[in-house]
Amino acid sequence: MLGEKIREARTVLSIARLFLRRELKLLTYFNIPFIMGLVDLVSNLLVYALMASLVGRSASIIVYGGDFVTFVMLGVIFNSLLATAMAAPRHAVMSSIGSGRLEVFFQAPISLPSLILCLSLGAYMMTLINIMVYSVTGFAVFGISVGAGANYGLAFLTLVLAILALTGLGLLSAGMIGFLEIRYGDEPLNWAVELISGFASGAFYPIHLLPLPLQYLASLIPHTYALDAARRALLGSGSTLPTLPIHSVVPYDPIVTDMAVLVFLAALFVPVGWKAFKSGFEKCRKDGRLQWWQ
Amino acid sequence: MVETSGLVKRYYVPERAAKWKERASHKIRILLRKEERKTITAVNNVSLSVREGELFGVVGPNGAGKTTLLKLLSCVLYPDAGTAVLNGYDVIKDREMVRASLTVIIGGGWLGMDNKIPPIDQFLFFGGIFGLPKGLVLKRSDGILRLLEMEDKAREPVMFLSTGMRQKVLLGKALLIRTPVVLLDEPTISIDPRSAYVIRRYIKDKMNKEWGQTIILCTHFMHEAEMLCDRVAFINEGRLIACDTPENLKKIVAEKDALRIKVYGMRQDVEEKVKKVSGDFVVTVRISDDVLGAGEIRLMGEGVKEILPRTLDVLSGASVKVRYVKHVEPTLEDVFLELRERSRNAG
Repeated sequence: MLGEKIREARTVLSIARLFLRRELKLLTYFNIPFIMGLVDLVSNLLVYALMASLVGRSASIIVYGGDFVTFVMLGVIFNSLLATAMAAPRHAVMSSIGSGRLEVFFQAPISLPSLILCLSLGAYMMTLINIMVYSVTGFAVFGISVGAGANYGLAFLTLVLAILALTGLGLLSAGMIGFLEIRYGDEPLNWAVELISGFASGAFYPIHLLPLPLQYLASLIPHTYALDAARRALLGSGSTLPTLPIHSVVPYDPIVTDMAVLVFLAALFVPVGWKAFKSGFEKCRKDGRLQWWQ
Repeated sequence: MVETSGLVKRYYVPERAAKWKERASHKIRILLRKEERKTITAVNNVSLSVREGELFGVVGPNGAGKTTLLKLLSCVLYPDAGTAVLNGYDVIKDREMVRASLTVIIGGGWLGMDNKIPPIDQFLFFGGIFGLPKGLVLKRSDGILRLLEMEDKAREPVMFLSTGMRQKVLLGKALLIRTPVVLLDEPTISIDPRSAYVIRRYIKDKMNKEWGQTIILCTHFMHEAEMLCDRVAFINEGRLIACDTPENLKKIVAEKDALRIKVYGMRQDVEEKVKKVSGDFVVTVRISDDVLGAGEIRLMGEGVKEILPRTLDVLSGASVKVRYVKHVEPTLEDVFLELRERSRNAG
């Protein structure tokens, strides 16, 4: 039994390696646009950093510690990873439907979870490259620095929980393709989460600066808790001052509260998302809509 | 080896009401189950039995339901009714085993391929997914690329290859993975006649005879089915209308005469007139050059020669030039047309 599981895991790993190699080839085939894309990232970062440096050490971020440039840089880095976790399953499905590859993959002896994992790897690979560029530029050019009391383990755990919760949401979003018969563009769930995370998740400014209704809106998405907890863990101010509405209600350390919410959201969204995704696909297979024109 | 019983597949027909209110009310009524969605039946109660080691043809015009049938057999789509057993595994209950038992090539051109990746890497990727070791994939790829006369294109991204070459790469994937069952959908579409001939021979001699693979070949090229297949199933509008060996099928129209009239300057309106004067005889018009109106008219039926003068009159009256009239042996195409006519009359 165990031997069989190990064999299965090895098979999935070797297939994942094939997908990664293929994605890397697709990504870097046109090498000039690829390099230009990376340069674009640096220029975007420059804009964020210059704007942040104008603010300097604002009183509003004292609760986290560090300077505003570091605050924004960490927000940009974490947010890119969280956005990928949310979008990867849907993007994997949509692009495979569009190119007619989904049917080809479905004919291969590979399970659905492994397939979705493998198809999502390309997006994660690109995000990791972006994060590397952000980090190197951030540390080397803009001098961002984490706090002396930074807890990397806690920050990592926060990100893992957030990625799990957002993957669940992403699967739910991918399942919508089947339920709502979407053949092109965005679907309502992903659109709404992206919209909220864009202005209210706290990537570029602290949530507590927003009007209260927007703070409540921000409380609906995992990004908010992930960014808050990761910054608290890395910038290491050790402050227990509330930054999110829930912190004023729950009488625990804000970082513990953030982690508890992320655990809850991951436990909720992963099974619900997987169930919705599977049902959406069963529906597609019944309706015959695994390609655009069917 | 492959057995289908009462397979049915329906597709929803997209409905586009002009006004958004009508569209919304229609969707709400469907959600409330007060209205049924319109459907078309792509595969209608198809029961077939393909023997082990057989090269079985599924023949029918575009939209007949051939590709849908293959998608049902390869577990890409779920049937609405009926089931199929492939290599001893049920397509509904044992999907993973069914998929491990077959290779399937569906669609033409670039579909299902990454256009920036060269053929050799496509083979390595797909071979790897099916669990073939890299060394074996490379060894087989060499042979396949040689057969397909594409050795010099092995490292050229697919997007720079012609349509025919892309089709060859798709076919190459089927040749790479040697499963007990192979499903081929229009394998020689867009391929030049010489390459098509080589591929057909390869399918018949190598895959079917030498390796013993059971092959289901969907095609609308009647001569391809006649040349390759041990047995042929005719499908029209989702229904199976006949299934037998090409020789037995041709006996259906053995007593009938077939005439081929080679024409220039043929037009749509003249086709209607020819069909009108031909009465119950089966008339097929195939135009190979729209600009010149070049093509052929086939007339088939018992005593078809009787209507020839009337047909020629219509053609000359419409200034359509007749190059020659030839008495020909009935082909599978004639059989299909005859059976389609009969099935329409019966239904």
